[in-house]
Order: sequence, then structure tokens, then C-alpha cells
Amino acid sequence: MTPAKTAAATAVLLLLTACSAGGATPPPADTLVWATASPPSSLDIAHGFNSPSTLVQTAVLDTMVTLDERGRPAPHLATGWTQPDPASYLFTLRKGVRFTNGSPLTADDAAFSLRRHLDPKVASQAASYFTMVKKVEPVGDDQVKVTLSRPAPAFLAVSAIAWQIVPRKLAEPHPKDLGSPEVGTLGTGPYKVSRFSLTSGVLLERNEDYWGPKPALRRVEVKSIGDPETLRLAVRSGEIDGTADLNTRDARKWTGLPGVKTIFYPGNNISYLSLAVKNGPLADVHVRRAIAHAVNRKAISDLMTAGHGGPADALLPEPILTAVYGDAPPPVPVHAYDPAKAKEELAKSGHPDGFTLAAPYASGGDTGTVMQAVAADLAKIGITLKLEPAPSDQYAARMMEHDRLGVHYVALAYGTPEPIEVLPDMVSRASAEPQGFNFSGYGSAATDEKLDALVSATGEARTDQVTDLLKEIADQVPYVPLFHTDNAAALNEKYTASLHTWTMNLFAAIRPAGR
Amino acid sequence: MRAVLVTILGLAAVAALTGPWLAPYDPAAQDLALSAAGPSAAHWLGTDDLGRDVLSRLLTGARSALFWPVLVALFTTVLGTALGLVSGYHRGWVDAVLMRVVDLAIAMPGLLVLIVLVGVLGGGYGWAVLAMAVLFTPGDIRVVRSLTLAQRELAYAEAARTLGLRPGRIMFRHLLPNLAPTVVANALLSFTGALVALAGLSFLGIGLPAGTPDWGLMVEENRQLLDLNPWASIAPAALITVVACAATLLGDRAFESMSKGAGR
Repeated sequence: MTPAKTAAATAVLLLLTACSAGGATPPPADTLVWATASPPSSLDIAHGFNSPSTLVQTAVLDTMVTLDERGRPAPHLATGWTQPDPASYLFTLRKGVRFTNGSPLTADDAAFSLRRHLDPKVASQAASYFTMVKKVEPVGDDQVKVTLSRPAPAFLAVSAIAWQIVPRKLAEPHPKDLGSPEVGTLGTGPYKVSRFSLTSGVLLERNEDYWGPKPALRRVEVKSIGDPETLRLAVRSGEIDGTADLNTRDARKWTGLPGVKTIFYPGNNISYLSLAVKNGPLADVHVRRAIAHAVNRKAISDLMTAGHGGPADALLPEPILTAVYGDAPPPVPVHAYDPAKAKEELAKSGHPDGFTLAAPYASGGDTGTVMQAVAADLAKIGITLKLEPAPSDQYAARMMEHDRLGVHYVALAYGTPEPIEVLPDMVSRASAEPQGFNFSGYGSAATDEKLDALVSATGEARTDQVTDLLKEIADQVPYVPLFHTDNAAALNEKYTASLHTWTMNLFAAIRPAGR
Repeated sequence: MRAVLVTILGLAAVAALTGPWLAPYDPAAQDLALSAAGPSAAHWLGTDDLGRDVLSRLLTGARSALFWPVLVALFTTVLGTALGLVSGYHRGWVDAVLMRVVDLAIAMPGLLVLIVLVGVLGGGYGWAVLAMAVLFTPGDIRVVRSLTLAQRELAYAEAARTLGLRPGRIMFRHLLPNLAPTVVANALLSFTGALVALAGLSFLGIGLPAGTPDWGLMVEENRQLLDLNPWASIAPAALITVVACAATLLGDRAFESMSKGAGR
């Protein structure tokens, strides 16, 4: 090759390198690509009350009330509220707020946004949050009065989760399909929806006219990656900037990924075994107590949380226990791991020599792992769990139909620090019906009365009611608490985040590093 | 080469027959404190997420991984050969009906049908194996039928008919030995197909309960451990691949050598 040709070739190469480097320029740090394990199903909480959907809803739709860092209700679209009487609230609306289409926010919009959850035509998935609401009405131009059927201190906290404000003009003609890709949604929040597809995800653009602090991220793209390992590789490669759908069990694999930081903070969740009390050997309380003593909760907790969580002693998430009892442990009996005691309890039961029980489980996710560990523990006292795998969707559908209930692993997450959000799910007779979360079927008129009293209780009375219910659960063992886990997020080091248990708007809490 | 292939399949067979006795540990014994540990002197291939010894599970899992494919291969070979012979020898309406059924069965997407059957109807692994055997059989019927059509026109078959021998005797005593190379190769191919398909079903979490020592299930259960103990997933995947390749190659070799033998 002549010097001239060499020079020319070098020039071409340099040009190509420059071009390719230009093409591979990473997106600006104020654009975030976020991944969820499943796609958002609806941008309306009435029809998309699930984790990926609420992630987007909270970025787009404001609520009247929010939760502060300690989980206490705080003003948001409402600048404040008063209680004319213990069973009613008068909210004052923030002035000058507009929806992202430019139309002004009115008291009528705010009132309608709550009232629609009670409308059977809407069939809202959040309806159970507002069963205590009797009447919602606008008062003048800037106030909304909510009248409850009786005092319910948890109303403010659940409002922070589910009372999202949408324009009446858009929501009223669309009781069923508001928030769908076809109809979309409109809010006053820090972001507006630029694109929403059930397959390709969501694109959010910053609302430049937002009434509150302007979020640091200009644009957020939400994609769905179902396989955990694919998700991890996508974060590692930089294709995805962040996710909150990493399993704490896999923390070891995520910590130390180059260019990625992991963030752990207390999660408002509880994982437990549900024991169906209605028939079969599990109807015997001694069998249930034997199971509670036989299961090594510490070992299972260590396996499933990898140090980012811990064994659960009572059937409430840790943040809720803290909200009720402070730093003191709940005064509730604990079934310590003790195989000898488990055998003693089993000897007192109608099945002293043990028994065999079919145990269906979801073949995907953590369920199989936990059920295998539980089965190994129970085998030591003569109880044989015959594990029966089923596709996850089929298993979930059967669970919600309360079909073939027995021993099940359940993990639930909640949004508020209110025990009344959790306990009716566990032990009310209403939740023991199909579509309810009381998979044990445990409950009685007396238990329902205690739950009823808890709805209106405050202060020490509330603490006493919670203690009473937790003691009943510990004594009758319809459930065996297993563990609670931290919430976890993985974030490219280009970004930083201030996250806590009650973070309502995740994307507003993320900003480019150094800002 | 053949010796290598026979040795591989022989070792797999020995593991299937004696695996539980060869295993250094109880394959179900959990040690949660030893979750996903890498290879060590105590655990040559490390442990899985529940702290179970991977080598012990591999040895014990050989039985589940190989027994069911052998059953499928036997079923499809016996039924496929018998029906193929009958169809090809008798022709006429028997042949027409059988071939339409075969066409229909071959047109169905096998793995999808299995997933639907096991997923919707439930019933566990036994149904999956039976369904797989039924779905594999039409292929064997078609191959044996086409060979039978050719063989029945040859002089030795004509002579047998002239002597007044019963059709059953002609088919199974005279035609079948001449089809043996293909039948043996088919049997080994069915074994390979079933091995891979059943491992695929286990990988999809369909059929076998969690915790059953089985190579396909081990790949699925342990694939999340690739960063912690890759052997837990790679070893069973490698064994499935090696045994499947050995069976396929041995089938080819057997076909070639038996065809030559028949030629002499």
C-alpha cells in the first residue's frame, strides 16, 4: 500500500469511527429507560390496580393526599383538610392547577374521581378501599366534602393510594375503558403520557407546566421484560437504566454489577403460608400449630431474602408493625422453630402419625422454592406435601376461585401503614369468598366484629384491636408468617434516587447523578 | 466411534439403573445454609439453591430423564411398526383410513398439544408421556408403511403369499426382519426426540413436581444460578445434549451397518 493510499484509508477509518461513535452516543441522562416484569395493563387504577400500572399512574395522575416519609397523610392536590365531624372531611383544592390538556382542575373533577369508585358501572378494583364512603360532593369552586358512613381514620391513607384525580369530562363517558390504550388518561401530575401500548410499553414526557417541583427526568420510557435473567443482562448492558422488579433473593447477582447500583429499603410486604381451615387435616388446630413449629422460618427467610429482609413473627408487614407499635416487638406469641414441639402438637391432633396432602403451586417464580423448603421441614414430622405444579396463570385463577385450597405460599404487598388495609384481607368472612384474599377461610362473626371496631379505632384503642386480632391469628394459626423482604431497585450509576417505603412517585424520586 | 457412543449410552443406562445408590448424598436433602455453593471437595458439582448436592441429583435424575424416553421409544416403535406393516401390506380402506389419521396427527404441533393437554387437563407427567408417545407414533407408521409397500412387491413376499402363508406370518416373520435397520434407527430417534421434548416440558415447568431429580427440571430450576454455581444448570444440559447426540449417531450407525448386513 502506498503512503497516499494508507493516508486515505486512515482518513476513511477515522471518519467511520467518528460517525459510529456519534451514532452510539448514549441518550441524555435526563431520559430514563425503566423496565417492569409485566406491562402496565391500564392507566386507570379502577382497572389497573397492579404494580406496573400504578407505577405509571402515579407519575401521571395526582392524588388529593399523599404520604410523607413516615407514611403519614400529607397535602398534595388538596392543600389541606378539616374534619367538621369525625365521619367527614372537607378538602381544600390547590388553586391554579391544570390538566395537561390545559383545562382547569375543578372541585367537581375531584369529587367525581372518588365517587366513580363506588359506581357499579365502573366496577373499580379499588372499590374495597372506599366502602366507608357515603357521599362525595363539591362545595363551592375549591372544596370537596367527603362523608363517611362512620369514622374511618384510614380513609386519608387509602386516598393517597387510590383517589387519583382525572377530568370528569374524560372519565364519565368511559366507565370501563378509561386508561386503556385507546382512551388513555389525563392528569395534573409531573408527567404526561406520550405513548401507551400493551405490547411496546409507555413513553412519558415531563409536564413542563407542573404545579409542583419539576421532576429532573425529561422523558421516561417504560418497557416490559418478563424473564429475570434477561432483565438483569439488559440492566448490565445499559439497555435498561433501572428496574424495581429484581428479586431480593437474587440480590447477590445484582450487587456488584458494573455501572449499576442497587438500592434496598424496607418493603411493606409479608410472605406467609396459608392453611385452609375448613376441612381435612388442616381443620385441626393442633395440626396447624405443628406446622407452625415445624417450619424453619429463619432458614427460609435467609434463602429468600439474601439478607435483605427477615423472618416474620406476626402477620403484618414490618412498616405497619412499626406504625402501630413503634420499635417495640408486637406483644404476640411466636411459634418458634422446634421440631420436637411440632411432633408434640401433631400427637395431640387427630393425625398423630402424620398425613399426606396435595399442595398445588405455581411452577414459575418463588413459590416452588418455598414450597420445597416447607415440604422438607414438614416431612420431618410425618406430614407429606405432594407438590403439584401448575402454570402460574392457572394456579392464580384457581387460588382466586378458592378451588382446592390447602397449604399455599402467599406473598402480598400493601400501600399504606394502616393495619386495616391488611387484616380484613386475612381473616374477614367477606374475603373468604371467591376473589377474596382470605385463602385460609378462617373467620367468624366475632372476628368480623373486631375488624369492624378496628375501622374506627385510633390511638391505643387501635393498638389494642390490632394486638387482639394478631393474638387470635397466632393462637388459631390460619396462617404461618414466613418473612418480609426489602424493596429493591437497580439503577444505572448515571442516576441517583431517594427512595423510601412510602415513595409514591418513583420517577419523580430519580434524578441524574450529581444533580 | 461406535464404541464411544455405546459407552456413553451404557454409562447413562448404568446411572439410570444404579444412580440412587451411586449418589454420594440424598438428592432431596436440603441444606439451606449451603445454598448455590460452587464445586468443592464435599460437593463436586456444588449445590443448588436449596443446598442439595448437584452430582447426587444428576445421578438420581438419570432414571427420570432416560426411563420415560425409553418408554416412549418402545411404545412408538411397537405400535408404529405394527400399524405401518398392516397399512402398507393390506392397502385399501385400512391404509386410507390410517393414513388420514396419520396426516392429521402429523399436522398438529406436538409440543403445543402437549403443553395444552398437561396444562389444561392436568394429570401430571404420565399423561405427558402417553400423549407424546401417541404423537410420535404416526411418524413411525408412515416410514414403516412406505417400506412395506416396497417390500410386499418383492419376490420373497410374493412366494410367501403363493405358499398360502397367513398375512400376519408374512408381515411379522418375513417382511419385518427386512425393515429392522429402519425400525432400530427410528427407535433411537424416537428416544432422542422424547428425551429432548420431555426435558423441554420439564424446563417449562410442566409435568414433574418441583424438586424431582430430573435433568430437564434441573436446567430450569437452576438457570437462575448461572452466576453463582453454573454447574447446577450446565451439567444437566450437557448430559441431555451428549446422550441425545449419542443416541442419534448410534441410530445412524446401526442403520448403516444393518443395511449392509441385509445387503449381503
